Amino acid sequence: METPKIFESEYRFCCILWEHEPIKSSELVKLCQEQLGWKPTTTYTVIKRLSERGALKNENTVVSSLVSKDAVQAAEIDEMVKKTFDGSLPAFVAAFTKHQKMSDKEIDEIQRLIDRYRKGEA
Amino acid sequence: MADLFLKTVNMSISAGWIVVAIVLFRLLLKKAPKWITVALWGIVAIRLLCPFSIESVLSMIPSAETVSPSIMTDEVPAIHSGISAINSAINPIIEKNFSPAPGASANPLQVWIPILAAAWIAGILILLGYICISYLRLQKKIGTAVLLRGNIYQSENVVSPFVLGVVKPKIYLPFSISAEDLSHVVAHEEAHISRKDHLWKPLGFLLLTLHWFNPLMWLGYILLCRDIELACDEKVIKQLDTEGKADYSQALLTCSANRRSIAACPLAFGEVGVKERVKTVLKYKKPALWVTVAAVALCVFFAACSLTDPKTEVYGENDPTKLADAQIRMMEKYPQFFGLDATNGLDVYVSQFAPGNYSFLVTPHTEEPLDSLELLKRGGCYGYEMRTVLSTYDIGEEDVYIIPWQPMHSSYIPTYFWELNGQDNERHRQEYIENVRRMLFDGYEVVYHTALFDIDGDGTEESCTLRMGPAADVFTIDFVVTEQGKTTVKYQTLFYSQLYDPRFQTDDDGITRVEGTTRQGVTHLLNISVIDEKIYLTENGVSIEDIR
Repeated sequence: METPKIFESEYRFCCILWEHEPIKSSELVKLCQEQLGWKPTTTYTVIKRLSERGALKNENTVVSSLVSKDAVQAAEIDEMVKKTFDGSLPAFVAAFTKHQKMSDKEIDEIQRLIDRYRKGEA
Repeated sequence: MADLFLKTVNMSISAGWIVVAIVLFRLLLKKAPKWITVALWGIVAIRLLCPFSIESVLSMIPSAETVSPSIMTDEVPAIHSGISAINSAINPIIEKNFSPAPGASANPLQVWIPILAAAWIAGILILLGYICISYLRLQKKIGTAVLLRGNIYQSENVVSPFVLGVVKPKIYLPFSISAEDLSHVVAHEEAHISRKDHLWKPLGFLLLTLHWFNPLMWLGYILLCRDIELACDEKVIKQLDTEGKADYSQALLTCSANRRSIAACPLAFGEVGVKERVKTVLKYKKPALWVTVAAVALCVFFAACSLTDPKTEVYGENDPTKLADAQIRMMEKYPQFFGLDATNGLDVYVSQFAPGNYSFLVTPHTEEPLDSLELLKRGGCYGYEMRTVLSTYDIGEEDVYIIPWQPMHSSYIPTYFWELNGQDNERHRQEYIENVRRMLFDGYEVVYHTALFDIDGDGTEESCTLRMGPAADVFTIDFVVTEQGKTTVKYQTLFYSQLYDPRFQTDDDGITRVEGTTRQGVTHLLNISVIDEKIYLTENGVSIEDIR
């Protein structure tokens, strides 16, 4: 069976699962709250999502994994998928910076500015 | 709804002027700390939020009410933008296309403006919808964000670090962020939080939804976002040395330019280009203290000019086509009293040449009273004539100041001048002014004196007035009594009497009597009594009518 796709945040969740399984879902919720800062609803949603994907099973409120840590680490954790999300940061949210269309030339130019500044040239 | 819409439009136009001023003023502040520029935008927000305003000569706003609520029903609809060039450009168009046809049942504007108001509401709802939907979508995507420490979370769904949350703001970072970049990004976001930008930006956007029809407001919001970012950068790098500034710039570059990035999104909503931000960071020099102080002082002055409204100019009406016949007659007789500048109020000077004989003149209000020579030049008129003159001015009673004066060629000195005891003099002068006021505004021909006391022993005080009789005969005294605060007359008796300057006089025994002076200068004190609804004034049993 192919290793199901696991996102980074779900990977962190799985780490907790692998460490404590088999574990009652309610206790898992508490651990996720402490270590990940997740609301209970979030944890239950992720449990459901991963069970649908075949990464874990939830029997009588006891959760255990269906894939091993090694198998997941081997599969590439895909970060690029949700990149399109970037364009939809609402206008009223304070951010650090936005991804911008910049030519390699421009990127190099700015890098040079920074490097020269570091060396003490104005 | 149409009224609310017009009020919003006026507020928007006023705020628009401020935005234009800030755009220019910002150029002056290039060397000043960036947080000051952000504060300027706060002024716009205050202007938009606060429906009230005080008038001041400092105001830079051309007009606080460009579109009058009456425009829907005016015969000649027009806007008053405060700038004649704009008025003369726009008003003819309005007059041509939106003037009501005589005899038509509804003005065109009465149809159009409610339609525009409805479109305005629709726009607001759409923008509010945008806010709700994008917020919910964002919430959903970062639901699985993992806690890093404190209030910092990481998620695979985050590419650009940002802050979210009004009450408990949280910082969201991508997983793929290096340790060096992390510290700078977090510093920048924490600067956002400590500056409360996570509140100001949404608030600004909310205000924008109300004023979405005004392109200047969008410009203002875009510039606000730019200035916020620059202010945040400044706050972080203030504490950094050369190395730190280089690292910070590196973080900016790394987070913005991912050569593998497939999402190319144009700069929008005030994003300052990375190159500009890096340059600004590297060039940063702490501003001298005097620069900061001067900038703050300028901003305070700017605030005073922006948050106040211009004084609405008021001039007396002197266009004969707009005056009634009686007013036109007065204007022919006393042209010097017409068309005056009443913006700061009017001064009505009153003098007397004999008891019951008053002379009035009116001038625009001045801080210091004019001197006698000045006043003599302006002539004078009767009370009922001044009343007609005042009716051509659209100001309230409270903006008319009554100033008694003594012309040098009058041998009559009103009683309030007699008492030399400072306190009494002032009280008499105030009562005198009060009488004249009632004469002018309530239409009493001549009021000698009014007082509050219990005339009929029923336990409540009545308002008692001594005034000249309706026959305008110097030798009659009309004694009118009304219940305090009411206008219905309780008692009224006319006395044929030759006593001058009748006034009320309350003795140490608490009893109020009427005092009057004969032509020979002899003062008499008369007791007041009410029998069978008729008032009697007697001194030692002798009626006032028998006193010579």
